[in-house]
Amino acid sequence: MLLVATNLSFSYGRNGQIRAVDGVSLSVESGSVVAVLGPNGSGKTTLIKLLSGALRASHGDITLDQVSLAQIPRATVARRIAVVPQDTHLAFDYTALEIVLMGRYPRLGAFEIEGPDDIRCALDALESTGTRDLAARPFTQLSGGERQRVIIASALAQLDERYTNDTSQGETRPILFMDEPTASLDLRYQLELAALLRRLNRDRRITIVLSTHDLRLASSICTNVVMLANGRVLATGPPEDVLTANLVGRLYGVDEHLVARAMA
Amino acid sequence: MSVESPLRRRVPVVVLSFVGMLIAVFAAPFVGSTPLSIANVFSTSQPFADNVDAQIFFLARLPRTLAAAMVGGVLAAAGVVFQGLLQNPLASPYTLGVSAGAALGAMIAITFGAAWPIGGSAGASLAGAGIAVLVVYALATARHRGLSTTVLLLSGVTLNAFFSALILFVQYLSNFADTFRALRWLMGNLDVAGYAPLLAALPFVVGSLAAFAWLARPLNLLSLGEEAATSRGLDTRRAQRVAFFSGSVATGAAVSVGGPIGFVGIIVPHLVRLVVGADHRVVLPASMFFGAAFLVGCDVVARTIMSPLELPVGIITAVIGGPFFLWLLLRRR
Repeated sequence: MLLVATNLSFSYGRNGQIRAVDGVSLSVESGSVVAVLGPNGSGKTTLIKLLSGALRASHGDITLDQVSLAQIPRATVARRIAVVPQDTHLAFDYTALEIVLMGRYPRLGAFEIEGPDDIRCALDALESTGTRDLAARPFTQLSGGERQRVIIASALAQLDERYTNDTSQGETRPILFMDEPTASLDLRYQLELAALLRRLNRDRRITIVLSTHDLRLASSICTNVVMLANGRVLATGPPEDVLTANLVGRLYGVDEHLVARAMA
Repeated sequence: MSVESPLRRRVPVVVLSFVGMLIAVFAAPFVGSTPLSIANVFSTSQPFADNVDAQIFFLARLPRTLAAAMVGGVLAAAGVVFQGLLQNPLASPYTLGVSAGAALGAMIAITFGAAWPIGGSAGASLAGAGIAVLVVYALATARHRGLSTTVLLLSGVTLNAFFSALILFVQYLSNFADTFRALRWLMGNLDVAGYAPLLAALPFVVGSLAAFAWLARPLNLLSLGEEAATSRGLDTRRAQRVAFFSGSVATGAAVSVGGPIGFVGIIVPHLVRLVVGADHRVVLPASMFFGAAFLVGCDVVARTIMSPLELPVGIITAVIGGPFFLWLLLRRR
């Protein structure tokens, strides 16, 4: 198993009485595509943040290749795990290429400047997300879908081992986390995103963990589904076993006949 | 496939701003109510004590020009750091209360320390700035594991208002002559007496500039948001702490030399960004050099526009800066 979470809890608020994630155990297999489903406020985003190391769990443990995530240096984690948030707003006018180059941060020394290899890697990443033409454009002037692709490219540049001289680590098996990737996209971008993720998973062997409300995305590209309700795992398994009208109905508190009609 | 680094392409701008600063610093001392000749200033044939041109150059105008360069460069660079830290292009080095603390310190020294020399009010302003910084930091970290930029902003703004009230109170207690001196200090003035104030501020300036050099790349990452920066391997809390303290120390040192000279820390970074884009590794050094040249230029105007009257440079920067700031606000919409 690539990533294993055991009895994960996270609470916040005064005295920590609000439990966003409550005793979640799950494992992510290398090469899989995992969807975390759940109603608003079920703890999806918090779980993604915990698993990617952005938040520290109040209880429980996460291991990456059998090593506790909390023990691994930040930069080392960043070379293995990248995160694409729901939306990115910038206060300053960086170009798309500059944003992608920021993905190379964990691979450079404190005062090191990106070399030709890093630039090539960044342009490559833009190419594979179909945004090569946007390289010199200001990020703030891109559409929502374009912005997301550039951020995905930044994540790819972050995870890309091919341009690193250091080959001692062997196969690294990167993980890409995405928080509601289709939430603000129109139909065409949704379909293109699904195709892109499938390609990255197949060709680059990137493991993908995403939170979503999009049942179609979950059933079309995911190998595994985790259903989250009130911070607890309601069900987990391959989409064909879990995405039943009954379970989806229970997950969202909707009558299962309505779900069956919506999913048909 | 082009592999040219967007960073390297902008290096000439940094070099250009550096050259601009050198030219400004060398040329500015020759401008003034008494014309100087280069030959006389650098003449070795007559002793310094008899060489009036050299005396004016080295004892009056050069320290003032160097003060302008130091204060302008530091304020512009600190502006970049605070804007990056707060993720807000409209932030300035004074947003978080450093200048109000410094002003209060200086006011107290001027009013109650009748025996204090000029260096005293500089020291007091530095102490005041330090207290303001610690209060704001304590507030911003009290209920937050990292450094909450929202709380930082709010407590800075509140502290500014509170300290301004205390300044008025101190002013009310002081006599005519002290009030006049205090007001002059608040206007921002580079009329330094010799090199001593510059040398006193130098260690603080050098230390914070070293921190700025390290900060350039972390500030780029912080632009993506705290969590995105963390997921790219940045120790976000450490970067924010370093930015906050180095920016504050730099600002405190600059204010102790020239008083709270306004707008430099906001106009300069914006003009620089218009030319070079957003990368802090270019914006920071270019702003520092251009800020130095800019304030040297403003001070020349301040010294000469109503000659023989010498205006406080803070009036010049405010007259240029106010309309510029409004233009900036409108342009952003």
